[in-house]
Amino acid sequence: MAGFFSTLPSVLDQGIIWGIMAIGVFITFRILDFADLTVDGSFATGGCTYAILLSVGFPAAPAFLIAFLAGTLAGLITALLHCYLGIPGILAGILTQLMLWSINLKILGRAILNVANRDSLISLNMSSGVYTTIPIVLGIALAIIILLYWFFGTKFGSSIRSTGSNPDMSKANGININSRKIVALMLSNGIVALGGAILAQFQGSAEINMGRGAIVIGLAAIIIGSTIGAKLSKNFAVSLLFVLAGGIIYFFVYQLIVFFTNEPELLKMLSAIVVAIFLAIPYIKNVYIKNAKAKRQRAKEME
Amino acid sequence: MLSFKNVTKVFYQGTSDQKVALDNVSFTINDGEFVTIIGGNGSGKTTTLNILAGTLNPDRGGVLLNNVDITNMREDQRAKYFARVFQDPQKGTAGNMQVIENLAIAGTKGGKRGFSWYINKNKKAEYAELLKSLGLGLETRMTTKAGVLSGGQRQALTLLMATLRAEPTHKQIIKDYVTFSMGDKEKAREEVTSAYNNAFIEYKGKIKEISKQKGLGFKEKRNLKKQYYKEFDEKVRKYDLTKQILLLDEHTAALDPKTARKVLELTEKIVRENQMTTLMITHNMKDAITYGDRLIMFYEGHIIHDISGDEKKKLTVEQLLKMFDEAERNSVK
Repeated sequence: MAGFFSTLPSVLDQGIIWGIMAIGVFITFRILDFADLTVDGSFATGGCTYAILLSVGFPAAPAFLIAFLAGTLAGLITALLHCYLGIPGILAGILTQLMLWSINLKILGRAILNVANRDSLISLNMSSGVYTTIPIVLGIALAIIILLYWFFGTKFGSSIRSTGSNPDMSKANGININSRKIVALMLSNGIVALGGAILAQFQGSAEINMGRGAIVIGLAAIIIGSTIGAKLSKNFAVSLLFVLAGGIIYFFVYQLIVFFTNEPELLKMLSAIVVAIFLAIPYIKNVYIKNAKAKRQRAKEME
Repeated sequence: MLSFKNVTKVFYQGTSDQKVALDNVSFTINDGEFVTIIGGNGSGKTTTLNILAGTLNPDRGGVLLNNVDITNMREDQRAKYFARVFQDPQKGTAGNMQVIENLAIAGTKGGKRGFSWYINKNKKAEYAELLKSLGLGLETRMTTKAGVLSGGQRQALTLLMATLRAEPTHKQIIKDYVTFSMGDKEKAREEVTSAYNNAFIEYKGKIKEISKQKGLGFKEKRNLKKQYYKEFDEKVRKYDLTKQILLLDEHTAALDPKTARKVLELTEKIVRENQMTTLMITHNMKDAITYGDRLIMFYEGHIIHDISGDEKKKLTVEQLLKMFDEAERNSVK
């Protein structure tokens, strides 16, 4: 058991990092109502861009920024495919994701690149002591939440929210919905790529497959977060905080499974099952539990 | 003045499902007119409204606003000239957003949506006052998500949103005045710029006088300046030609009779108070007679009757039914 607890700081770190990515997914999935599968590719794009820049001697801060911008470009491709070539959203994301696999390989030049020895943000590296990394990743996450809270509270941000909520009404109120979709997809994938860059720094390496299943983890974090947080507050910033918490819970559960089954080859299947369970919770609550309750209630009243 | 000029719209062209929705239809609606539109299913009423708003493009013909062709304007670009209420109460408001946020979206229509906070104190008070005028108690539920409101409340909110838009800037007003004035454009440009310049010089002169005057406190000066600016602003706004045209597409059809009545009364009130040019589609012949100053009847992509003035006032439901029957008989022949 002691072995399990010693992994907790790393679980917390990973949870927050993937939580940052999940906040990016939140923008498309919840605000824009767009299932964006670009994420699996753009997450790796962020990591690969960051790692290669670091390996040629870039300092961390501009490398993070460029990784973010690389992500926005990935989002732009999906947005253009969807908005101007009429390709359905999910398919546009899959196409971009496939494109990005080749692009990421080109960026990195190899399947995996170790940058542990090029540690610019010293305390962000696992080998330098896991405890010290938490404040930094948490700080980045909170800064992103504050910025997004401001952004989506502005007139422009509101028009993105209304585009997601009701495109017909938005057009009738003079909003160019294509431009809003483009901005939202770019911003979302930029944040996802930033998450990938932070993970590359945290792990000390980037690989072209690091984004596989990212969308699943993102959705899981969002749904876990909203399942717990929905009753507490409807405030936008609070719901973003719960997405972050969702990421942490996801990795905690994940770690539990790894620890007790000790079969790493089952991980992908297990994580899909974890996600399926959390995705199903609201439905089960609504359909089975509530209905059963109502049935019992009716039966009681009939007596 | 809004004109529909020789518009033809064909759906599923070249297939066995081909359907002529509008066949060379023309009409003109004057400023401030309240027009009710009736006709059977598939007669072209909704297509007409959708072409006006830009949701659909006509195959031939076009839409003219004060003789300016706006046919090629995108829906969101011409949205500032039109306000819409749809049949489906869900369609007119963003369900995931609060009542106040919905109003703020409508209140920035046609304006610049920048990076300032979506609402300020003054606007909030203004919207609360407007919600109060609906008499539905919505002013106490401003942070409620629009999605949880009832159908009638959502339609009422949509109607209220239809009256809102961003106040056009002075530059915009001058530009639109030249574009949409009916007569000689050069003359209009001279007229509006000289009027603007005169008002501006007068305003600046008054401001100068204030600063010369002694014995005025800072607060008094500020209030005077505000008042003078308001006078100046009002003078400029007189030249604002772009009033919104209200397009109502069976907006009470999804409501129960009592709520429908309430929403219709509210519609009448809003239209008259704001002197809005209005086109209202309805399936209820009684409403088509009771409301509006003019009635247009569609039949299979044509306008078969266009009744206004005293003749409209004397109309009865029986007469309308007779007209429908006649149209049917003629088309069978």
